[in-house]
Amino acid sequence: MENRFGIKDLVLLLLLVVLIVSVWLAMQQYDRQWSELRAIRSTLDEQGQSIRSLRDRPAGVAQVVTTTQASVATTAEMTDPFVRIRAAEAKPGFARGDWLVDSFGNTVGKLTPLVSSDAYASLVQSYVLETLADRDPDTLEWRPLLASSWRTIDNIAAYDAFVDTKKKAGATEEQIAKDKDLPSAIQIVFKLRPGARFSDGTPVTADDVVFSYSFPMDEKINAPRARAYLSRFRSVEKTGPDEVTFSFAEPYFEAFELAASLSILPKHFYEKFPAEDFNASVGYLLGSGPYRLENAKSWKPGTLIQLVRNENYWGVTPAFERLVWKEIPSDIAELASFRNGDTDAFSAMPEQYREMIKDASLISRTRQFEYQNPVGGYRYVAWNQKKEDGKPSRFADKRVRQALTMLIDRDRLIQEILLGYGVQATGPFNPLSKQYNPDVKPWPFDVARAKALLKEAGFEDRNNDGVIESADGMPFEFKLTFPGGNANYERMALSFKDSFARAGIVLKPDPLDWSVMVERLNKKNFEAISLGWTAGIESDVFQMFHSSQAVADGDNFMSYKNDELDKLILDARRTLDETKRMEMWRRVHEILADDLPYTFLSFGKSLVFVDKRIDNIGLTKVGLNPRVEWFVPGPQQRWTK
Amino acid sequence: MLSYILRRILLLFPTLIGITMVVFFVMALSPGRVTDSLQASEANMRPEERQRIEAYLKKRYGLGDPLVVQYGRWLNRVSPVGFKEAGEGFPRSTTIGFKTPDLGESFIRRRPVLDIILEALPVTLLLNLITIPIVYVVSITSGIWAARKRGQAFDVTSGVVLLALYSMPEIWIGVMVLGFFASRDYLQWFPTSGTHDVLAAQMAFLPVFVDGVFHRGWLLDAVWHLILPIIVMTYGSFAFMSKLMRSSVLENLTADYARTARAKGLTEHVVLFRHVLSNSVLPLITVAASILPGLLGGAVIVESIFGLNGMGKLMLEAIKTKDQELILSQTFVVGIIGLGSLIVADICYAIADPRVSYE
Repeated sequence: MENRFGIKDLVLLLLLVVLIVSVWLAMQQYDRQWSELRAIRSTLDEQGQSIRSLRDRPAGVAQVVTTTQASVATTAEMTDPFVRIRAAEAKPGFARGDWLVDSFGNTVGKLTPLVSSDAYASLVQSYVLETLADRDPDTLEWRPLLASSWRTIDNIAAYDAFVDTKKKAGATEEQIAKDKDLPSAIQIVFKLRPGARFSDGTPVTADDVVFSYSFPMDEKINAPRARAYLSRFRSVEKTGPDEVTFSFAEPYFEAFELAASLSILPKHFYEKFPAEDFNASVGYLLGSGPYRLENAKSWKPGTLIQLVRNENYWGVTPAFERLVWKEIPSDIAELASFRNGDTDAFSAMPEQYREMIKDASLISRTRQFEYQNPVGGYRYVAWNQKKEDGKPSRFADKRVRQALTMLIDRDRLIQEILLGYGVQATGPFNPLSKQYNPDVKPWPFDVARAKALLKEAGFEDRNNDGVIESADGMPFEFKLTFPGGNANYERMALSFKDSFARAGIVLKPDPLDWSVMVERLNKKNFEAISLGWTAGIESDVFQMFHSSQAVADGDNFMSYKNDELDKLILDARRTLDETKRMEMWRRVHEILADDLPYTFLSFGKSLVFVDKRIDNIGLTKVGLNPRVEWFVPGPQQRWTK
Repeated sequence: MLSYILRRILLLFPTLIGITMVVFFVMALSPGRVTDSLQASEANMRPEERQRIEAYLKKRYGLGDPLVVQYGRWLNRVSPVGFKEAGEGFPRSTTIGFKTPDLGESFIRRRPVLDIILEALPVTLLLNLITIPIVYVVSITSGIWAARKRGQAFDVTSGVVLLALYSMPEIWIGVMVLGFFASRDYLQWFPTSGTHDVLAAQMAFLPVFVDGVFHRGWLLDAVWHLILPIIVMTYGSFAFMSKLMRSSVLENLTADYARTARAKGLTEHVVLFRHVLSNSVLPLITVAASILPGLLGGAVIVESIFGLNGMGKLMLEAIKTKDQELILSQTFVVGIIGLGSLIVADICYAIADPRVSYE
């Protein structure tokens, strides 16, 4: 008989394949069951632990009772960080429950703090980890969180005296900085809040705060970024059972902010991991915050990112039961998901926003927020004042920079590229910040005046070819570098090209790949470059505009120098008194608006859509109010019934 | 035959070294340093701080050494035979011997490369293991039918339709498909992205009816999420294989042995399916070999649009962030498998076609 592969064999083969596939699927299902079982077991373990600690507590309850009576007087002084959440709870229709589903525009690699490297991971960690203090969204005052109180010891006079004597004796700045006898210019002593605890029940102690500093400072931990930030502290020491002292080597106005924004990590959890294991880990996240990972150790990239409410939270728990983030890398898919109602919040680009507000059904299902973000950043064009050979370039003349600024129609730019969703920038400070000087007027769009200024600076059309030349006949041509692949930057460059051509200046757009651009920037190998900076509630412009930062890799990449500004910036950084400091920043704003090392372009507005069922969303001085204050009224809850 | 196989396997090594050397040097000599891609998230750092980070990374990953040394070090780490610490591998006491290859650690993601690749591989494999049979089955059947009815309605229309599908770019079709089939404004038949629903963890495995309401279940949910990506991946590939099959079948239908079979009195049906078919499939075997590396390279466009974390998207991100170790290791892995599959395809061809022999 012939040994042919016939229909019967095909059917048998297919059956075999189906059998193998079902076995594989069954194994998959077993795996799912297994991970569910493990999750159940770890929850039971945790509950067992809390029951045990509750049982052991009655002996200590009496002590607790007596101490609370004694400290009643001081508790009144402690500001309640949960005032706003309590106010939300008092609102009509308040109900706990439901999930908040948001999206990230990229996949998240790691959630472990210190070794994670993207903004998304930081966002997730901000719900799980807490700091010693945070800012009230409305008053911007610092309010105690894990700390209950603090005091600042101002040693600047002693510091200055010491530095002076050493300088007179001939020591260099580096030697002085390393001198052990150098008194710390500023010391901040924090008292920890009694009763604060991590989500597994362990209390937050001074040891945890010190650990949060010493752990990343260990070179074996792969956290160079955290180390760079933490080296601004001179030391962090436990100086009492519930007290920690932060010492700073130099007087710096941001000292308190740096100390207060240190995320407190649980020592008992993280010290168990060997350094290499911690470095390679992806999902070790445990903290004292209002949300926690279901299992503090087992998150893997690719699985859904979700935080569950910490029912063991030491403070007032928020309304949402779960925070979920979907990872949607494609912006089209992200917008489609939001439109379908699969996600609850969406930040739109101006073009998307303009289309979306025309959609009536979308408008009826969502709340729209269009606001000036107080911590939003600005766009600018930087003019390099040095040529490659080190000699001053054309842009070293202030009049040229002013003329070029007057040639850019910033209002039109905002209308056409930001579609009206933005305001003109007159300086590096956000219009909503106290550093902003309202008396500084923006430069007008005035081609005639610009041409006159250029002529004054020696540039005019000497040979009638439509292009202006300098005294030695060099035509005014330059390249404008910007990040390539971005439609907005490209349109902006073309619009500049057009405006400059009217004054006889030739602009050549030079789009570059990001890493190439960064390298050229660091080597200062550019003529003019257009970029953006982010801002903060109070931004320190030392890096961008102080002449000492005009070194290689420094952020003063246009080699700008103004002695009055230099002194003013250094003074402002040292001044701890806010009123005096703000006056100095406002003067800085004035100087920069006149000198124009950058042509400041615009601050964009934030455009956010949120699903309509979510209540209690409002605008505060830091943007939208924190999500822990949002809630969904009972009948409208979607994910939990 | 055996000597042929051995020769091919031995040729693998210089080819791999060549591939990885070119990739390494192109990356190393291109502008931009490793830390530049980390700059975006560190815009507010002072230069001393940035320099400190760079110094640390240089020390940790040996980035300060000359390029040839860096490449040599990587090669040594990846190969199962090389210089090793005494006390590891086999034999234990010597410094040269067999050792476990180590694919290294990604600087940007700060995780072992092997873990990253092992996470991305199943998604890509799944997508391709579903795509390839579909493409093959559809192409073979349409190719055969077009050859049988040459010049008639089916042949002409299938040719035009498949070619039209081939000409439509994936980038555009992916977005169109999302916009029309996954959007509330038109037909919302499919989900927009990802491999599982938000509630997937709580679903039962198989579909069930609970109180008259149909619950998809985990299995069906996963399938439902894959339908659109598979459609976008397969539609363009039919044309090529179908035309190949068609021409191969046509060639064999007019061959001498087919004429003899008809002369013997066999029906056209028997001639086609018993004799001609097995000979016509041969070109498709060779084509299969070249599909396999693409399989592991991944379908970058589909993965990016639908948010599936496969090898293609991994490679793209690694290149964007200049993640040296990840790029090299992925090239290496894809290179081995690609070259290996070429060898396997050649052997399969020798088995399938007794006229072919390698001596």
